[in-house]
Amino acid sequence: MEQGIYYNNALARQAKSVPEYLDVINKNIDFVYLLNSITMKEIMDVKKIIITGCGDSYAAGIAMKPLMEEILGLEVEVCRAVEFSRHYRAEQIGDRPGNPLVVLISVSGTVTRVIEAAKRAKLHGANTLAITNSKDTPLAQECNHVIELNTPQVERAPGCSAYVACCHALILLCIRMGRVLSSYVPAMENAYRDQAMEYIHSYNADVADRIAAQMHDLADSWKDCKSFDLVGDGGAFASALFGGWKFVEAFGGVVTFEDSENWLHENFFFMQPEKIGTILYVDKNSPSFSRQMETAAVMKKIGRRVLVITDAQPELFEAGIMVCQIPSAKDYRYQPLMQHLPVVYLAAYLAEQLGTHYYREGDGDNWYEPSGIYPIRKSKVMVL
Amino acid sequence: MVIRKKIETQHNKVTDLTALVNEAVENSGVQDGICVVAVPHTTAALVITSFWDPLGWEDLMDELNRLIPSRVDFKHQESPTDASGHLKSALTGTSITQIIEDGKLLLGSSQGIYFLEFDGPRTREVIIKILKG
Repeated sequence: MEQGIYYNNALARQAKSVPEYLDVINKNIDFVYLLNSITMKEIMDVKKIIITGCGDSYAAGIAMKPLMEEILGLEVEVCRAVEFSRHYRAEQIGDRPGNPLVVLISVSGTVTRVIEAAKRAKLHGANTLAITNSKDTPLAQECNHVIELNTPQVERAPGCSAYVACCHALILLCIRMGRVLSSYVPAMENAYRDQAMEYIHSYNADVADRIAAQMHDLADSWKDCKSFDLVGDGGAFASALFGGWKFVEAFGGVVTFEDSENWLHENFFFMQPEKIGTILYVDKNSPSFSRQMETAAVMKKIGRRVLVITDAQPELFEAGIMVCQIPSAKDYRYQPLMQHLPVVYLAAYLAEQLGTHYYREGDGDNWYEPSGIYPIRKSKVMVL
Repeated sequence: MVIRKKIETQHNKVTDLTALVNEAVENSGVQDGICVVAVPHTTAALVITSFWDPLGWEDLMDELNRLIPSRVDFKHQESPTDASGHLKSALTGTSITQIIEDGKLLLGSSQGIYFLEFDGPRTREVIIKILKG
């Protein structure tokens, strides 16, 4: 049981436990497991990977796309499940035997749209692999292959550790594929996995406590924000999406997202900037670092309340910008594994401040049917 | 006495170990005996072949690749080069034994000692044991 005011809620406790949770996942998806997950021939047939999912699962694909492309040397496309299942052309889904490899993510394996996407992929000749909790889920049953997460049980709260598990599973899948494709020298096979776990564990208890304390204080001053605007580039755009969705799930906050460039084109113009909690991810080794710095300065200038989450030195930022410093990975493309954690803590503490319930359970009748079935699991299936 | 040396290999390439082994023999001071060279790997091999033409070493690797190509349908599914490397290593061998006379390896006038890399590039180990008598 966690001690102290920072861990009085399930979401904050889950955030702190992510490294230990990932130790279990990493052990579950070991070398031998991956050897049997997909054959060499199927890997050799892959010219492109398409990752699809909804919500956090979709964000996991965006988070890991840059790292996967770096390791594999293959194109990785990420799309929302409804785009894949209803709007993609058939030629995009199956243009030659065993290609593309469609990776469908749903921890529960019960989301109708993702299952529909799997059916469509199979219809058009793509190879399919599910990242889901077990081989018994409906999604796993629809796919040719499955990577089982076998996630440990956690308290009821917006998902955080499961998201990191999905990201890590994607890394392990591309390590396996890269070995077969000779995308890297053999010595890197363990090194890539170790780098991921090393970064996850860099958010140790001391780091977690520091970040939690900072976000706990920030929640007190941000509780009157009318909305929240999250900004990130590349894999960090996923951290913006994922973090923002934790605000939605934890306390029903209104959130918007952009990358640093588009923010300057559009979100810049929001009214009442002083009432918008603005979060910017700045990765010091990101190719768009310079644009992120320019964006931070503009955010401050127009009167936004700004939180920068960065592995760069805090002194780089103007006075008045709050900086949450996070560990730096050897390769910045690993940072989306964990860089969202400050926002998860902030979501947890804002929910406490505002007195709302996770997923609106207990906040009124607007969100649930009498039968209790979420709309995401009850939808007409169309396999186009 | 066992001597261990590290070498850096390149993918599908041959590394000349002759000088390294000769040096170990000279340093041992053994005038008459046996020298055993071994590699503790399952995707690499040791051979004795002609040192005159490096293209001959390429022929060696090409022929091994022709006989045991890197394929995807091995029962062992780690990777095509790993699976085929295991077979090449097993069929080629991972140790050699040479006679020492008058403090030198009794190699033929064209003979050299070579490390064959089937799944690199990697850091590999060469183990040398020199026995007097």
